[in-house]
Amino acid sequence: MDINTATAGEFLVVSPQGERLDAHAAVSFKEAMSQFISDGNSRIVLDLGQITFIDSSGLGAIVTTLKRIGADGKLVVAGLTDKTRSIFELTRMDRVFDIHTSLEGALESLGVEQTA
Amino acid sequence: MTIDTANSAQMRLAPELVEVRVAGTRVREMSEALFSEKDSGQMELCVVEALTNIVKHGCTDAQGRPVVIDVNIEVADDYVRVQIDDNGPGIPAENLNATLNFDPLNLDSLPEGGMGLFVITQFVDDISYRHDGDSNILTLTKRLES
Repeated sequence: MDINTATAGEFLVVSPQGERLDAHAAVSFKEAMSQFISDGNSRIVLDLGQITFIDSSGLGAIVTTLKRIGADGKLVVAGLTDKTRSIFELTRMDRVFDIHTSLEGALESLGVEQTA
Repeated sequence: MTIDTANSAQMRLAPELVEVRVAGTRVREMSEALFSEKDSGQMELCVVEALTNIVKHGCTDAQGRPVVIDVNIEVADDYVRVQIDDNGPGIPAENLNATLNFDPLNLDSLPEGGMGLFVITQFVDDISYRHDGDSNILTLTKRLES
């Protein structure tokens, strides 16, 4: 899957492209996230604004990413719609992740200065 | 009796994840003709979870024959029903009563997989599963208000 990245303050903003974070996409997503972490990025905003469908395999891949980052790093999830948020709520993963509706809102709450 | 083809569809899938996407999208589109986006999305998710489990657990059956998956979709006035027949290894009995237990504050306890059946049990109203010889038949029914 294609993934765009940008830097915002001390965070790496990771934006998966394509509409589905499902079992088919999960393998390459996990590999890409592992690479970002290996490259030294331990503070990541995962911008899911392009994603319209997440299944339990996609959710599992996000959990794997959180575990790889570990307790000393930070993984924030942004850009969830009502639909993509529902699997987080159903599985109670909404209690695990710091979740924001918009990327702008996530960055604001993290105290990252945004330029227009 | 006539069969309204707008409300039913049969698909045969190869055990590949790209095929799961196609079937899931078909279920959602057929359901959305009558029911809400939310209900239709939940049914799509359940079918994707069930088919993904089949694909992940092997591409050949016990005799080495390719796994073939038949999906039968039926949309009626007040329900969507999807029957999935396959010749893979099937669902272990102990997995059918799926639960999800973890401590949200304990990173190590978080599940990275095995959540599919739990999702299905939460979003559909009826689940029927039969393992019969080489064949598994899973039927998912979601009752809906149009």
